[in-house]
Amino acid sequence: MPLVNRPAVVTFTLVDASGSRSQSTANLIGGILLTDARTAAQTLATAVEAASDCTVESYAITFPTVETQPAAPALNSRVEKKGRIQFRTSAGKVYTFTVPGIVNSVILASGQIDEDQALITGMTLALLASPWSDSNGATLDQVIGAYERFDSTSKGQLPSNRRAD
Amino acid sequence: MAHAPAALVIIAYRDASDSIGYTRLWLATGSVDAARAAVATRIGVMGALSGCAVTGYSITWSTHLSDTPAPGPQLVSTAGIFIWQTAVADAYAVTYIPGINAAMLDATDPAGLAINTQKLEVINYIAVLRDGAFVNPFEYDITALENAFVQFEP
Repeated sequence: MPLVNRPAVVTFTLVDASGSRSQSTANLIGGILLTDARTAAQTLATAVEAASDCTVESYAITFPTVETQPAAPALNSRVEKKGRIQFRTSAGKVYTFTVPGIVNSVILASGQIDEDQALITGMTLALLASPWSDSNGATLDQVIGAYERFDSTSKGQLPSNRRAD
Repeated sequence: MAHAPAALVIIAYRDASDSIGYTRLWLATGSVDAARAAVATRIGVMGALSGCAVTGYSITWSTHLSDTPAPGPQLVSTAGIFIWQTAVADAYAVTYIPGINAAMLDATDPAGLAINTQKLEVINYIAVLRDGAFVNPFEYDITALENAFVQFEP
């Protein structure tokens, strides 16, 4: 399962006088530290804004990693079949962790996810520890629910070979 | 500026019908290495929970800028395109400036199509892209500007 880090990408979001938004991207050198990436991004944002009529309202620095030899997905696996585990955060809010194509072995007959199943307890214990959080940086304190849910299939998710022979 | 309090981790999966699904998680850390280590120790378990195949993941730190100037008249659909030479022959990089200021355009015939590389703002932009931190998607160093012009998008 070789995971390969790719060069970081900084994406600037610009807004014009009509309220329309557009993005501009640039790639950052490999191995760059987050602090250096932020410095480079801020410098480039200033230069872009000076040459543009638009305003740079935000930027995002993404560090991608790709699996160069992904395993074959299980027969009949479907991303629309979701496992959802809900957590109460230290701020009193709810964070939901979703697993696409959840395996049947962790699902009870009622559709509830078996929270005592070894795979589930391993995952929840990990997420209840640092550095995992919600989007506001609040810690995840308690599991409050876990269940199976099916999302509707979009046109793009229909099988590519669905036409009759 | 305001840095988001947590980094967004997106794990991508592919199922038997070739559809792509995602898991979104948040990490309260300012270290790329710590974030990658946290994901690496969990990705095996996440893969075991799913019948889909994990195809990769990304970690994103966002920053929101405040006290920014009001935008000028040029719309985002008028973009400056910059084509760059890299350290590898015949390999290029491309960057864009949406809503490029009309004053950055060359007035020589044909007027309003080429970008004036003698404008101070353009010189500064070129200098930033060439300062060593930026590369093309294949990690080749950006070395020099090849061409720069305007493109109109509907």
